[in-house]
Amino acid sequence: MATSTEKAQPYSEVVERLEDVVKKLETGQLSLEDTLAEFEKGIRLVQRGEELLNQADKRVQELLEHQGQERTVPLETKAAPGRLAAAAGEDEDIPF
Amino acid sequence: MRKGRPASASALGRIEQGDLFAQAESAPVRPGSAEAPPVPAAPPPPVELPRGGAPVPAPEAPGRRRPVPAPAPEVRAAPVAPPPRVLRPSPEAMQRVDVEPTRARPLEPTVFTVSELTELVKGTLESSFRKVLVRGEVSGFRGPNATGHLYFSLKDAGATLDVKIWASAARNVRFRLEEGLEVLAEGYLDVYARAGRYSLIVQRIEPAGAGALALAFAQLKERLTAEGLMGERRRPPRALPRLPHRIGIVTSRTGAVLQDFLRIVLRRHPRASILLCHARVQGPGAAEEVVRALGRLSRTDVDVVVVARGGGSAEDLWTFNEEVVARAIAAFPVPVVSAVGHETDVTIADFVADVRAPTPSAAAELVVPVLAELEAEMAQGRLRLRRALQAALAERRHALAELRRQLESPRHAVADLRQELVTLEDRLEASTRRAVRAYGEAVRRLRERLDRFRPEVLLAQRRQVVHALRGRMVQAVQRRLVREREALVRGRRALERRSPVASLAEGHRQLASLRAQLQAAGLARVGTERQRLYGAAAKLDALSPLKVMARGYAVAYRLDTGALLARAEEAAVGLALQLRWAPPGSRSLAECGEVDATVTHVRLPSTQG
Repeated sequence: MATSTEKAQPYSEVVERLEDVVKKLETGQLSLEDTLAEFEKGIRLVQRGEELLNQADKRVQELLEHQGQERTVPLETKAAPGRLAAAAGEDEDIPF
Repeated sequence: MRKGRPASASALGRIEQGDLFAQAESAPVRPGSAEAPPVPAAPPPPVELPRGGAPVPAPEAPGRRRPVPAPAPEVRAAPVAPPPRVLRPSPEAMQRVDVEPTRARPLEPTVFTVSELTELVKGTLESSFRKVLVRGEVSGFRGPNATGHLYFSLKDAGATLDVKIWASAARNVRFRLEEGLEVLAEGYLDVYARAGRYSLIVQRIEPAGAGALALAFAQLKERLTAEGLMGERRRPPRALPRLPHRIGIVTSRTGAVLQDFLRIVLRRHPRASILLCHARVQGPGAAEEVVRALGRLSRTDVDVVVVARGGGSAEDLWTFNEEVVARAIAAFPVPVVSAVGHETDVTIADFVADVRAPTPSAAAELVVPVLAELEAEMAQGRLRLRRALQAALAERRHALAELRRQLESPRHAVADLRQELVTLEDRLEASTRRAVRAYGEAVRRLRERLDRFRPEVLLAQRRQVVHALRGRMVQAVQRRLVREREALVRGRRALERRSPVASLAEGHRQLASLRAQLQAAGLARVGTERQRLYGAAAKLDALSPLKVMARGYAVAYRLDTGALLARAEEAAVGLALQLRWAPPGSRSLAECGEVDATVTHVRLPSTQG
């Protein structure tokens, strides 16, 4: 598995490929070697999927334009009071 | 649709209404508009109309063809109705107005009956208003009657007009008629003579404001469809990412829509990333703000964008029917979800977006999955993987066990093999025996065939043939001998039968008889007769061959046939003969001596001929 392609892999593709692997395994027509190889591939896909699911960092932000400059600022939501976007570094707090 | 439409209609801008009315130009002309400048200034009415009076034509304008009194009140009502209106004067109409009066019937002191007058009025009105567009407020609307016809009035500040919509046309009215709703109705005038009333028979009706929007909507829709931005020729919609990296949303920062959206998204996926780009979503300039917001978002890492706005009137949602907005959505680099208004609201944005969400809340559910579900999906995937692997391993283990079992019980295998061997042995033996027998048989047959060609066998065969022939020959000869002997016997008997001895004896008997007769008959002639008899007897005796034979002659008979050989010519060499000699004094051939002989030589007298 080339990790470089995995990086850019969207979740849907991970699921699709996982589905393929599982189906292939479930037909039970692979050699033992292929079975093990497919299993490993599948486990890696599961890990990748979980990674993608865990990866998301909650960032609720607003994109503003100020004097020709675009900036993002955390956006407070009433739905989750007090929970500001996890200022993930790139955010500058610009008072408006 | 709401009441008080004029107020919101004014916000629509001049263009739509102008457009709408431009269309209306094909309808009969309002004379008032002839004088009206393109600005909504109310022209002085040419005639004073009785306010709120009966909807009868103004007496002053009874041009037979183009009098049109009805529009006059509408013009008068203009200050009340939305002011911004472009009324385009039609030069043609102006001309007509000038011309018509000359064709008016001169006043005569004619007395009409009511029917005559009404008939005249009916003809005048109905031929003059075959197609008319009227704007007014719905009044006295009570819904369809039993047969589906609609009866109500249109009114404005100055007048009221009876309106009928037949059921067939009513079916095509797609909005709800409500009291006070300002509408644009198209139809023709009809006079009901019996009641002396006239009314507008409506064929088409639109809400005054929304109708204009609808027209604009339809026009934009047509344009975008032609360009392939929507409709059948548009590119296939892009699929939304299953797990969006970051969701962009264009809406008002202050609206409840945003809060609803965030709440639902974060509830489904607590760690979702959302990037808001504020835009006013209503009112002048809103479209441009939406377009700018989309532009800003297009430069970020969002992989899906929701364009959202809460419910509102058609005018409120109009921003999303604007061409610039539609084009910005269609050209957006990642999938766009349109979530404008309520479920029943349809905007151009809905058509050009990749996905149309019925509401902003629905959009939130569309763009983000429930994280827990995805986690479950992964767990399920892991489980299925393990199960599949276990199944595969179990299967192989089973196969292995089977092999081992077979290895562990070799005796069965040996027994089987032995049995097989025995069977084979039996078969081998049987088949060998058969083969040997067959060979033996073949050899025997060959030997037989060979034997037939061995000299001694051949000789024996020949000998046998000769023997058989000899047998047959002997038999034939014996048969012949028997036959000859029988023939000889027969001949002898025949000869005996013809023997002179017998005749002689007969003669004797006759003689005796005759003698007896003679003796019996008399004795007269006895002497002579006796004499004659003796004479005959003597002759006979003299003639007897036996007498001749007794002198030493032999008689030759064929031995085979018994026939008398009377001539030498009848003899042939080798012919068996029987020679007979009669002894002296013999009286029958039976008394002859016999000698069998064979002809050894035949000599015939040479002179014989």
